[in-house]
Amino acid sequence: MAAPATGPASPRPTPGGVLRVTLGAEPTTLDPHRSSTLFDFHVKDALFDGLLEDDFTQGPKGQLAESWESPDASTYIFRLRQGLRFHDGQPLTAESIKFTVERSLAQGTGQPRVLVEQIAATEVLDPRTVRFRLKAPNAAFLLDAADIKVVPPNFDERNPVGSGPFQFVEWVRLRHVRVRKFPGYYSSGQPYLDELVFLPTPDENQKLVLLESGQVEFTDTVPLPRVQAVRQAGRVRVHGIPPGVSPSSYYLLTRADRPPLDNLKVRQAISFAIDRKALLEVTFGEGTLKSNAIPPRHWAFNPQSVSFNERDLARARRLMSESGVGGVTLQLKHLTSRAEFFPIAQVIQANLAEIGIRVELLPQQIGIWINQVLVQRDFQLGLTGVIPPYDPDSILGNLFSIRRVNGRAIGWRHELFEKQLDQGRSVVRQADRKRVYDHAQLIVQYDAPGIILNERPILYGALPSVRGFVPDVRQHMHFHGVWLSR
Amino acid sequence: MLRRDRGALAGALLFAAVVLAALFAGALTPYDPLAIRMQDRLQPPSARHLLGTDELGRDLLSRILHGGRASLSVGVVAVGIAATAGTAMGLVAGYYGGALAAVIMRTVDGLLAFPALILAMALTATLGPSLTNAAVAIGIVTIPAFARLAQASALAIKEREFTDAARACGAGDLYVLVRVLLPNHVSPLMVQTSVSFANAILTEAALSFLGLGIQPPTPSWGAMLDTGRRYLDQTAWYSMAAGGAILIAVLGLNLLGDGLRDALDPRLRGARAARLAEEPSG
Repeated sequence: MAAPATGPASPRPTPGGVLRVTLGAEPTTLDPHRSSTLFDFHVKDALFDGLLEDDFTQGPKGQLAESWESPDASTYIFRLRQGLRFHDGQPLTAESIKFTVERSLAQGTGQPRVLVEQIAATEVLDPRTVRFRLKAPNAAFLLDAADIKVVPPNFDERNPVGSGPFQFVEWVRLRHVRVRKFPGYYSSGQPYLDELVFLPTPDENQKLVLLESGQVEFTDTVPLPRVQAVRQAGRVRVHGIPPGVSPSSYYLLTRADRPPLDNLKVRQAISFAIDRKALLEVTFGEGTLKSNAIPPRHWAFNPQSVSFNERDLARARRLMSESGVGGVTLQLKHLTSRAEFFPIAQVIQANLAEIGIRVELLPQQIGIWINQVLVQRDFQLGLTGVIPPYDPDSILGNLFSIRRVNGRAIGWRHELFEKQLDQGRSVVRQADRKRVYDHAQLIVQYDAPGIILNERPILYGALPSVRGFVPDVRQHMHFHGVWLSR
Repeated sequence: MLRRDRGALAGALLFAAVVLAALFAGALTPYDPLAIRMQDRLQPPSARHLLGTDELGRDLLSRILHGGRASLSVGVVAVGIAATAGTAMGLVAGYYGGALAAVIMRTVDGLLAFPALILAMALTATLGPSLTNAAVAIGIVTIPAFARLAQASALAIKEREFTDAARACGAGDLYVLVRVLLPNHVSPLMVQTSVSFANAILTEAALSFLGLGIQPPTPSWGAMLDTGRRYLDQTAWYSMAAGGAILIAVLGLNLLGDGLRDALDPRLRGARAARLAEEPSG
């Protein structure tokens, strides 16, 4: 699973060179505590480190932390590596961790803020040891700790200093973000690249043209209609995650606290009416057929919960007539950052027309979409791509819980579901946790507050000279181990 | 008169074909332009689908024919708005002159100062993207062409003897405007109408291409051109079909407009006759 796709038994990495990478959209901010889009995350992962690495498919791995322990599910102690430094040379100590938590709490927004809200106290035990006391037990806190990106006390967004493998050079709006090798990085020899340049390139076909003509070395997506042809042509390597593993999904948010979508039967009808097999064709068979946020190959997946994988139009129509809602028009706001959002939205529109729901489509750029849908909650249906952290608490919590960003936008309140999430965090053994999440999936799949529309494929394009890239189930792009063969 | 000008005849025939195809779109093709069939998607032209299928397996020929309805109705509404409002404004300005003309014509100049497409984009972005709003926006940006033309006509016609004669017989302003100026303005109006109609179709296609015009699932040539672009290396037919439809409609209208101008403008008619005479006949 998620095996390094780097070809034959790795020769020794050669240092040096510049890697140019496309981004589907301009980042909205380089402040790691305010990031909201995937593109913010892509740049942030190069500049900042967390206590742990954020790919947990092989279990937790230390990044700034060299070891950690958890006497109980609400206390976590991290021991930092020796001699850590920020890009500007100041030492990174337990005090920096404490400052980071305080700053995200005071100035953070969205997901980065939600992560630290659970922390009751951050205690510096010695310059290299920090202890978190949580407000409530959270067995999945290690994953959250990976996402808390550490910044120095004099952090300034215009010159974002972190401790990640690359340090900031410049951000020319709509042109590029340039970062260069941080020579003081803790992992010896890494990063191998001298420089990394992110180029916002909204058009997917253009990304491929840039790659094939050698104007970039790496693309953050591959246009789905062309994946087969690109694989066969062999001039460009397609890296990806095997299907069924990643919590990546296309996600249809429903405004569940306002008519008509506050009506359970309308939401169920919508989910039954959508033809997910047709949607899998829209993505040219890439990805996985699924209607559950927990991926089918995940340890927490519950096959007993309601599945909408098979379209059931008769049932959808019956639910609609039982709901008493008729002749309704819904507005669907969808992203434009990937080409497939347009045909997906059109399939939804055609599918829902068959159960008497008229859908108006409104394509929006990601920054506008986030503001209108997630922040102002000005929407009825919202189509996006999501990729929560790997733990079931994060997957279910991030997508549906009223206490998290997407759930807040949806406005679905279900006490039992929230209690299940709390319980899942308080128990530690995986078998015990599985029982809890099995139950949570039963609830959320029945209530359909947000609708999962298959796995959103994670694919990257790279020139054959790009080596050492390891795709991660969360679609974070890590370049510290990447090098260029000559 | 059209028989004398083969270009105009061809234009008229092309445009008539577009109109008929759009009117009888439902009867000409067995497919529902909205019916999604994923298993048939992005097919090349075949006996079953004469122009192939789009990214959702919808028959492209049906979508092109039905798209014609949208384009033509935008053209009719837009040109209707522009011709009515523009001609009225221009005739009034030309006839009365003075402060009234200054106000009207400066307003028109103001409209003219913006590039038409940019203004139409701004209008649809404000009003919200839809077929009606696109038509209204295009109508508004087309007003200046009609207003300027009508004003020029009015200035010339009001000095003619027959206008004086009408007034001497006791005709009021309204009578002169509607029964004297307007009928004498019909020839340039017809030419302008056909040219503006072609421009309206082009502008609508541009707006839809940018996502500001006709909204899915309603088929639209401009939107199809845009979507087809994403699949260019798999089915070039997709964009070519949409582009071809726009080409045929616009070419037809422009040829027709050219022919009408030649036929209706007395000065050009003389020039054309002279030109024809210089060519060896036989």
